[in-house]
This record gives sequence, structure tokens and C-alpha cells, in this order.
Amino acid sequence: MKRTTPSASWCSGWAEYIVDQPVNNHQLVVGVSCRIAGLPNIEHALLDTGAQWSLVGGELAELMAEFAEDLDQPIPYSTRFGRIEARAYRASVVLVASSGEDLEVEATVALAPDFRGPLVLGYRGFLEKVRVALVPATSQGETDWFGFGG
Amino acid sequence: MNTTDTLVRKLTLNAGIFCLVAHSDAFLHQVEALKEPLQRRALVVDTAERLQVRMLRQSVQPGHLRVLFSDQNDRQFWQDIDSNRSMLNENRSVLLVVTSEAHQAMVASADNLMSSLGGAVIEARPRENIEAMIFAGKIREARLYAAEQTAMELGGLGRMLAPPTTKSRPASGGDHLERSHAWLREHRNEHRGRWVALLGDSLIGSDTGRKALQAVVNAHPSAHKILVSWIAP
Repeated sequence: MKRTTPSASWCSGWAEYIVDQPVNNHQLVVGVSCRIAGLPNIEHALLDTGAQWSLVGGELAELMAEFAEDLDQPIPYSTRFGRIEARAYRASVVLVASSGEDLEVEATVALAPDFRGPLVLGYRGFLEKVRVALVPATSQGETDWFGFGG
Repeated sequence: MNTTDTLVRKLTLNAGIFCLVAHSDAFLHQVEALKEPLQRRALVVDTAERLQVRMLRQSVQPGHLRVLFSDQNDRQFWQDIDSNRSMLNENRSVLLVVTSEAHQAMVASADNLMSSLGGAVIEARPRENIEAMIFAGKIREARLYAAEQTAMELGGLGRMLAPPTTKSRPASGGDHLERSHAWLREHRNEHRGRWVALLGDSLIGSDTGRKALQAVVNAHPSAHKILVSWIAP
């Protein structure tokens, strides 16, 4: 696999992103690597500029709630599965770089223990202040690069 | 008790002209919630037509509680209301007017209307306005409005609406991440509907429950290098 990292003056970090299998209506989803408040490991999150807010569901939401700031506010969230009950938290989410530097984002995140989908990095409270780039591989064996900067 | 609860209570106990002053059209979403409880108690008339105010004069029946919803805001509309307020009050008609901040001046400029409304004017609190804007997806508008409020009025809403902030940190990824991705591309079909924990190209564990898997990850000496990923069913 070729390891030549792309370059962009505004980009402070690069990491490989992964394209998931087609899901349901044949949409491909983009998975990027991040760390969320209080957990030692790296997470996979869906990069979704179409999502109003970032969203954490299921047991991961319960784990994260212990380390995030509860804002005591309901947060409206509609998914393709319908409307879900979510609560607003302020938390640190770190975009993980394999080249350059990580980017720590103090973000507003919707936590919804009843939501069974993946961790979503959405626009409001997160992506709206982060510059991002997707540089897809141009041939088989190359790396798909995710670039970011504050 | 929020503004809508207060308003429902007042409307069902009393009659008269009520004016709900909202600072955003987004508040209309919350007012929609008023209609159902009121419809059980009253004839509810929705109107976007000035003429319907005059029609009330003809169709009004003494003793009936009528609720007229309107978001009209031109001067003539208010003058119509003002000139009909005695009739509306006598016949237990309730006028519920929803208007935006910009139109508040219209209310004030209608002769005698504010005095006839007396203490019945219910103004949405800043928090309720902001929540309504967020509900309607009007985040930019909510931020502008929130900037004019005090921190005490906003509570957690201020933090919720605060733009994200960023700072750089030393890189914590590396080749192990790419090896984990390669593993996922090759093996994910074998683990659909499960969380997987990977250290490079080694599967540390997998589980349908995230908490159970997290306990395994937390106990691992190289937890900071482990990638945890959900594989869709």
C-alpha cells in the first residue's frame, strides 16, 4: 500500500479513512478514526455532513455520558429510522492522525442510548469549525486519505 | 410550567383576548401543540385571512368559546381586532395571536389594543424561543438570539449552541490503524451486527454489547492503539 501522504497547507493531520459496505439503499458510508471523552481507545465514526448534530447511541452513549458535560437539554434528532430522544452534551472528540497532528474538538454531541446506529460526526457543534478533505485512492492498493485542520 | 402550559390553562379557564408574543416564527411549531388541547374545549378557527376576523362578528354565538389562531401582523388586522374586542370578549371568543418580535411594534401601535389585553399578554421566554429555533433547525438564528440573552437565562443552551473549538495534539494514530482497516475490509462480513476491537491486524475481541467489549479494551495494556468499530448488520 502506498504511504505517500497528500499535502494541503491548512491540513494539520492525515489518516486513512475506510469506506464501508453498501447499506440498505446502496449509500456508501465514510468511517474516520477518533477518540471520545474518557475512553482510551480509538473509535470509528461516520463522517456525515448531512447530519444536523453529532450522535452517539446505545451503550457507547452511556459510557460517554460519564465523562462528558451534561447540558441538561433535549436535542432534536431525526434519523432515517424516525425521530429519537437525545440529550445534549459537551465533550472532547479527537480526530486521530497517522501523519501530522491529532485535532481535539470540544464539541456539542447528542447522546441517545436508544439509538442503535454508529457514532456519527455531524455538522452542528463539530464539523462546522473543522476543515476536512477526502482524498480517495486513484488506483487499487493506494490509501484513501482523510485530512483535517482547525 | 412552560408558556404553552400556562396559556392552555388560562384559555380553558377564561376567555378574552390573549396575545402570545413570540420572537421567532419558529415558535409557531410550539403553538401548533396548543391546538389539540384547545380543540377539545373550543371551536378553533385558523386564519390567515383578515376577513375572518370580520366573519366572527357574523358567526359568533354567545357562550361559545372561540379560539382564533392567527399570525397576521399588519396594522389593519390589529385595528380590526381592536374595533371588535368588545364583541369578542362578550361572546367568550379568544383571540390567540402569534407574532414575531419585528411585529411587536404593530401590536403596540394599534390604538387601545394593548390596554384591552391588559395582563393577558404572555410572552415566550428566551429559553423557549431558542428551543423552538433549535427544534426548527434554525441554529444560526438561535445563536444570534442567544447572544442577546444573559447566561442565567440560557442555562445549558449557551454551551449547546457554542461553536466547537479546536486545538492540535501529538498524533496518536499510525500504521496499526491502517492494519486494522485492512483487517476490517477482509473480515467485516464475518462480524456483522457486532462491535469489534482490533490491535493492528489482530482481533482482540468482538461482542454485540459495547460495554462488555469496552471492559476488555480498558484492561488491555495497549488500549490506546486499539480501534473499536461497529459493523453494520
